[in-house]
Formats: sequence, structure tokens, C-alpha cells
Amino acid sequence: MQEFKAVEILEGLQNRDTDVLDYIYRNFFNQIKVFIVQNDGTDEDAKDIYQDAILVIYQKTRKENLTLSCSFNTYLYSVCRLLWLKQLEYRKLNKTLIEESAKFIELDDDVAKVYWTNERYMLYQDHFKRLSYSCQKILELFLARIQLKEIARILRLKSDDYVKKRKHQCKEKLIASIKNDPRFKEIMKQ
Amino acid sequence: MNKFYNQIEDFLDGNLIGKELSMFISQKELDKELAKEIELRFEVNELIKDKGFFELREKLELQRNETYVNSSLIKFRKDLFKTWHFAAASFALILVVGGLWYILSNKPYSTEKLVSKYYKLAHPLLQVRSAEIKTDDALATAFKYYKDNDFNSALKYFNSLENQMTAKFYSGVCFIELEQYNEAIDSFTSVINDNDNLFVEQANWYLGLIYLMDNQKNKAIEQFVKISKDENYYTSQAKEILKYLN
Repeated sequence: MQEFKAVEILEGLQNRDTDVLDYIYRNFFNQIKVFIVQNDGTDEDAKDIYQDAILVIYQKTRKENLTLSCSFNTYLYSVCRLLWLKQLEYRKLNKTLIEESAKFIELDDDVAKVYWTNERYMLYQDHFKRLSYSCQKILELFLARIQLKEIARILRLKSDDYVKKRKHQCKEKLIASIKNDPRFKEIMKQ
Repeated sequence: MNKFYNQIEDFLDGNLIGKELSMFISQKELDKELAKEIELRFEVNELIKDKGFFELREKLELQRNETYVNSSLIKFRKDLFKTWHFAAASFALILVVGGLWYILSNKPYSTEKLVSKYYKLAHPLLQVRSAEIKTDDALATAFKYYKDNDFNSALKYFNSLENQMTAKFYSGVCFIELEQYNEAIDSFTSVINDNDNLFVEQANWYLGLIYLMDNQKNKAIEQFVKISKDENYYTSQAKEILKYLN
């Protein structure tokens, strides 16, 4: 199987490269599962935490141009570890003794911040995907700063003004739908 | 709700200027709820622009589901062996089934499996507008049938609008559903050759899938190679299919 260096893994994550994603999963997931199961979690918890950690690392690489001073394995384990400790705290399962399954580094609270931003993103995404195709398209095109005339042409809408009106309706529908989700209040507290 | 709330979208779109803008910014500093609402709407915009996050999340879900299927099979086999009486009695059967499973799981995806994994019916367009009311009516009627999965009736209306690329594209999808692959290829080829419409990427994607459905593997590979060289929504999926096909 192909081997990747840390820098190649981060680059692969940026490009959502399936080979890199498979490589990470095959090589590093098991150790994370061992850690979580040893510390009051289940296989499903391990999968959730792994997925959340990959999304956190993706966002940190994309927004902060993350560079690693340790191996990717150690960094991923440390992110998963931190997220799981937060989860234990949230579930009010404070453990005095944590059983480790690998080396880790201490991470700052920024990882938790990125995690909560991602949680919000996932909530927004779930509701965006429920919009009609035309609503999704009009919002995407509008935010890509495509000219109103061009949007009207692409989506066969009658005028620039109608594009604006539809964009407004679609955005309001999306915001209302997000706010009505029971997860919204919980996530916004963080 | 005060007027500042109505101005949030204008602010985010960069349409507030001069005095209105400075008043809005001052209010934002004073009103925490307003600031929160702005932040929410700003984040939603950021999410919509971030195609990468969408794609990565989908791929992780896919990975999770695939490993779930694999681990279920492994668990199933382990459980069988735990009950040794049963394992002994069923040894021959397990050998045959296990062997078959091994052979099948090491074979590339069948085209049927690939098609069922990647083919999705295109969403109907809900808003269609054109200069002529008659055209609007025909499209609206066509979509009504399309949404009801009555593809024969939908086709009649789509086909009456020969020169519209929207209608041409959806007629292609109807032909797929009716397993009339040659006609579907003609429709999508027209859309691709027009090259000035919203559906070119989707038409290319469907064309690849039709070749798979029609067991034209070489043409499918050629088509997915073409898509994999572009930068669009289907690029990574085309690369995945190519892995299975090769």
C-alpha cells in the first residue's frame, strides 16, 4: 500500500483525496478506537470522534495552513483524545484516570472551537440539502458572486429583480429551518 | 424587529454604504442579538461557499458505511466460529459461501453495483421561466409528471420543447428511466455540444453512467477519464469509479 508523509496527508485532506482518506483510516483508526473503548466509549463513539477529528484537521489546514511538529498519527490521536475528553465532560463522565493507547501532545482550546464551528456547519448543511434544487443553486450562484443577469439566464428566471427576490426567499427559508431544529439552541450555546 | 435586522443581508452582500453602513455597524456594536444574527447568517454563507466541507463529509460517511458493511461480515463470520458445533456442522457450507464471498469481494465492483451506487435521479427544476407562457406551461406539466415518476408522459412534454436545453437534459433522464439508452445518449450529447447551459457537467456524468448501464465499459472509462480531468462536482466520483473499473 502507498505510504504518505505528514505533509502529503494534510495536502491530501485539502483535496479530499480518497486514497489519503483510506490510508488514514486503515493506519490510524484502530488506535483511536482502542483509546475510546478503553475510556467508556463504544465503536460508534470512536467512529464519530474519528470523523469529527478529520473535519477539524481539514478546517485547521484550510484556514490556518496547519503545519505539524509531530507525526500525523500523534496529531490525529491528540485531536481525538481532546474531543473525547470534552465528550466525557459533556456526558458528565469525568474520569480521573485516562488510559492511553498512543503518544499525544497537549492541544489548545482552538481545536474545540473548530469542532463547534464544524458542528454548526453540519447543522446548516443538513438544512441546506433539504432546500429545493433551485434554491440551493440560486444561493450558490449568488454567493459565488455571479452576476444577477447570468443567474437569471442559467436558472431561467424572468428578471434580475426576481433573482433577488428568490434569493431572499431561499435564504429566509434556510435560516428559519435551521432555527427550528432542536439541535440549534444546544449548538449555539457552545 | 427593527430596520437593522432587515438590513443584515444587504450588509453581508456589501450593499450598505455611507451613512447607512456606519449606522448599521454602530448598532451591531450595541445590540448583541443583532450581532449574533449577523454571525449566523455569515457562517451560513461561508458554509454554502465551502464545497470542500460538503465533499469531505460525504466521503467520510461513505467510508464509515463501507467499513460498517465489511465489519458486519467479519463479525458474522466470527460469531459462526464461536459456536463450534454449528461451525463443524456447517464447515462445508461455510467453505463454499466463504470462498464465494472471498472471490466476489476481491472482484472489481460489478457494473450493476456501480450504477446503483452512483446513479441518482436528477432533481426536477422547480422554477422555470421563459419568454413564452406556452413554454412555461409545457415545462411545468413535464415536471409534474417527472416528479410523479411518470416518465412516458413527462417525455411527451419535454420533447415538445426541442430547443430548450433544460427540456433536453430532463428528457435524457426520462430515457434512462425507461431504459432507452440510445435516445438518452442523443439527449445528453445535445446538451454537452450546446455547452452553454447549466446541465453540461450533469449530462457528462449521466453519459458515463449510461455506458455502464449498457455494458459499454470502454466508453464508460473514456467518459469518466474525461470527467476526472475537469474540476467539478463529479470529478472525485469519476475517479472513484475509474478505480473500480480498472
